[in-house]
Amino acid sequence: MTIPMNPVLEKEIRTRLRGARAFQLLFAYVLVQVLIIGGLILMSGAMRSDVPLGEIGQNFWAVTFWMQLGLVTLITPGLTSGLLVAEREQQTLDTILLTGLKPADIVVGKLLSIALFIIWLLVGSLPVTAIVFLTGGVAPSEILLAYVLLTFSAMVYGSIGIACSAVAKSQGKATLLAYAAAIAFFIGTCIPAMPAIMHAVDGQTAYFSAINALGAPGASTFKEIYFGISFPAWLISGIVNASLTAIFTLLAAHHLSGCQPRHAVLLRRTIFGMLVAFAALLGGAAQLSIGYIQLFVFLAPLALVATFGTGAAANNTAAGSIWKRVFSGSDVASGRLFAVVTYTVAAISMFGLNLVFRQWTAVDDLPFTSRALGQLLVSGFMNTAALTGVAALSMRFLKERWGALGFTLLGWATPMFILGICSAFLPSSSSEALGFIAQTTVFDYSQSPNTSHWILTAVAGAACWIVARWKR
Amino acid sequence: MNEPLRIDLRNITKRYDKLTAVDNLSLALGPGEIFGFIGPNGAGKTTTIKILATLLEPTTGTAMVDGINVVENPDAVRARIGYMPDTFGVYDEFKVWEYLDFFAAAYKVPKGDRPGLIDLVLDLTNLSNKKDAYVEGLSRGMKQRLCLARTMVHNPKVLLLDEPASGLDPRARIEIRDLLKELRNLGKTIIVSSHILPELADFCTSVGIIEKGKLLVSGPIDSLIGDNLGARVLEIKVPAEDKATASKVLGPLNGVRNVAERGEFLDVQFDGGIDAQNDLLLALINAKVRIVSFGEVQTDLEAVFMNLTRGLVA
Repeated sequence: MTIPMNPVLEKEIRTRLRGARAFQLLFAYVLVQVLIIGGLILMSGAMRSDVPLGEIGQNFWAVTFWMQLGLVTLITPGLTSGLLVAEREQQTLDTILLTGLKPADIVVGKLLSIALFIIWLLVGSLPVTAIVFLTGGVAPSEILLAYVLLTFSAMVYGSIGIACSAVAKSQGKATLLAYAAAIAFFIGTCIPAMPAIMHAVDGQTAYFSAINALGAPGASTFKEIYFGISFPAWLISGIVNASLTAIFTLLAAHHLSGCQPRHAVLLRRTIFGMLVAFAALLGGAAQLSIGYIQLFVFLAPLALVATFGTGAAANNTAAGSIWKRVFSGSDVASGRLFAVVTYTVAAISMFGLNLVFRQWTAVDDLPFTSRALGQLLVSGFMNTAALTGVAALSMRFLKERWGALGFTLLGWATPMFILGICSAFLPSSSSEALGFIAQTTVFDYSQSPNTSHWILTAVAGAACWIVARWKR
Repeated sequence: MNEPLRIDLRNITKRYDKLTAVDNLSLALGPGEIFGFIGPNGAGKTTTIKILATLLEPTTGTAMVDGINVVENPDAVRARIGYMPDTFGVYDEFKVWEYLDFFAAAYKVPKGDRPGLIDLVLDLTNLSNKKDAYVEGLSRGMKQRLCLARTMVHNPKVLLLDEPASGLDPRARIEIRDLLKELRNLGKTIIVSSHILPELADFCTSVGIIEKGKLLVSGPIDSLIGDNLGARVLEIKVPAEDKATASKVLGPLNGVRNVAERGEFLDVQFDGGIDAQNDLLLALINAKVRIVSFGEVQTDLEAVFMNLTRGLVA
């Protein structure tokens, strides 16, 4: 029996592995790991005799795995974001579509080739990971599971990349958009992964802790309880990631076939249906409140994707018309809209993160909540002003919507967000400094509101705004 | 009727916001016909071809390929056409045979049939010796022929070739032209577009001239020339001293429209038949005009084209 081979898959594999490039990348991939891990061993003096060998093994494993995750997260969107837009730019897309290959065949073929390539990289670097077996402390099954979850994560990033590739009009935009979306997904999913990263207890109950593969090593024994039935965390995370991959792949195929209105409606309903299913699932979660907040934080962006990302048919909805305005807009107004959307998403995730922290640190007093909310509002308002300014500024200089959006996301929101997260973990003096820069005082529930942060943010925003509006 | 028309366009109109790219265009072609689509850039050739290739939907009108509606059943149409776009890319990192194999696979040609088929189309396009070369290293003319080979891997009945010879050097042009003649012999229906006339004149069974979305005229080349110029031009060479006599004799004759002097020649615009032409010659001889040569000037498509599109071309 011969398995019918997807021609696109065959083509992609053939050309990707041709010549030395792929092997150079594998070499670089392994080399980076060896250098970093070797450096860590030498610098940390990890091989001290007073530390149990098993513990060294566990730390070693976590570092190795996270590095793999980091590399995969960085490589995958870059690999996939160019795939479709390149065909469009080289004017080869029409010719393939005319062969009778379905857009879905093309997208799936391309995505599978990348998945195989990533698996190839991972397998190629297994010898580095295998050092863990010398020290012990980590079960082989744990490693296997983490690798499977990492592959699922890679598929999500890959499908996000390919969806961006189908939507964007040029390579540059596709890459920018893919990285922005991948980073947003990574940061968003850090929140549920926290329990698995920070203080994993075997067999503990936590929700969605391995959606981000960051939590995969810690969450291998975690449970999720819905309607009294206990599921292993890896299974739920695997299902969620596979569904996300499916959604983005469908979205890519949908855009490739020119956004047929009836498909748009179908796709939108499918995504909303999945969201409702998630909501119902979380309704049965043992920790209800956290469940709903997590639903909101991680899955609300999907509702946005369903509303805005499905194309033509979206134009007849109210939200669709706003989006259309953003797309056709060329000036500050669209920058403002982008900023509002960006910050709303950021604020919601910050708030969710806060509640997770609260649960984790067992700080459960009303003053905290009210203060956090108050700070969130004020800080949110100020940051929106600042983001609007940055967006307007980048719009003026880049003269290009996607560039401005990418710059706003990557150049302002992301560093601010990361600094904000850092500030929550560091000792109070440096925390204060970072929080000051990041204007994310909302994290810092131990401190009283700091008005100077807000004023600085507002001034920075206003300055950007004025520069953006400056007459040439 | 045992076989449906290969191409049947009825009152096709394609409108963009304000621009009408194709305006009420109708066209019917049977097997073995090569239709030359001529018109300046932006006249609507590419739009029409794209409608046939299922890449665009007409605003109004129906387009059928081999009896199948292009809008209603694009998949079936796609299996019957080979389309070569005016600008196209090839996958540089492929070898020539891999490139063709990829498209054959995409067209669902069974794996076992592909090697023979690839050899066949390579032979047809004169690329057999480049089978294992990288696409990247091919010259432009070869890429063009490769693209043409690609349009044939699924043995389509209809070929839609948009400017297949654009940007090629004269030698490569001639190669493409010979290839098209060979394809005509295989019984394929071919639409080939160009903004350059002589390119098409000698192998098309019929041509159509399109301008601003309207098909100004279409039909076999001979009848086009007859209909649109109306008159043939007779070129008569006479000694200088006989010219005045000749003009006087020719003037009132039946079928003569105009007599003009051109160097040693007299150009006579003439729309009579063969008998009238014979009478004309007799009249000249009877008037003792010494005729050095007598012949008909070959009018060509270029003249028809200039005549029809005069003042229209932006």
